[in-house]
Amino acid sequence: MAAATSQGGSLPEETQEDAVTKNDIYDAIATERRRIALRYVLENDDGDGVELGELAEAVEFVQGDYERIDEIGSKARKAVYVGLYQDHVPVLADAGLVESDKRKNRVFTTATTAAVVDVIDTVESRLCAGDSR
Amino acid sequence: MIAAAIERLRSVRAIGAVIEWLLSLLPWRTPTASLDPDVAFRIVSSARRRHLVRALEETDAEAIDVSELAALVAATEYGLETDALDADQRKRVYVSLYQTHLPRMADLGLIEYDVDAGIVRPTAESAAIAAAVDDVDGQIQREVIL
Repeated sequence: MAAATSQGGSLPEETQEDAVTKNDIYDAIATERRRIALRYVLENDDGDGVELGELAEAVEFVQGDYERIDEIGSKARKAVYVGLYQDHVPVLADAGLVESDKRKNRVFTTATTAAVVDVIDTVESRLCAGDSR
Repeated sequence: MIAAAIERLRSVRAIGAVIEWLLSLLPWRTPTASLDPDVAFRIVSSARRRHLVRALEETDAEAIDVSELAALVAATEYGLETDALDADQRKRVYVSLYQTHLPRMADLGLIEYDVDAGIVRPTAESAAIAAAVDDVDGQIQREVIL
């Protein structure tokens, strides 16, 4: 680790404001809601993105205790929608992990979405393994 | 004939060593933990806690003094050698480990922490977290921060 710091004398760190840092990525995947949303966008964007309402419904379904998607009440759906719109999608977009079109209410994958879902998989398989022995 | 037998034995042992080495590369030989995902991601998402588990892993000692641990973490954060840290840099990290990170990680069973003695011991969980963080850091560096 010491070698990495000494050889990278010009680490980007906070010098460039728009540059995405490792911390941005770790922050982006810190909450379950964002992890679910990222995976859903990756698996369901066929090129024209995912509609935000559909994403909200999917996230609530995965997180909540539902058997069928039409059991989700409009209140719950709205709460998740607002959270995604105001908080989670902007965080993901700032980290470059999704692209959001606010006018069309759609969320798109980027070049790094799949790689970050791989990172999530690594953490889960290494640290949340059912029984390691 | 005896020489041939010894020769055979030796080659068997060499094969054994190779097999042992190959086994060590298998994924289930890398340390894993079974943490709640919320806990795992919360720990991993904090830069200071990432540095902390790695510092614990890198000192091969069985136990480490909190102030020594703080110096290692501060050195990583400021990109300096521990000798080059000033008192403020050490203190800032020390107080945050003492008041926040160490008690929280001990409560989650991720480290062994003796508050009175001011000593921290790694656990199988902290070792697994350190190993996972190493890999994930590399993954992010190679594939995400383009």
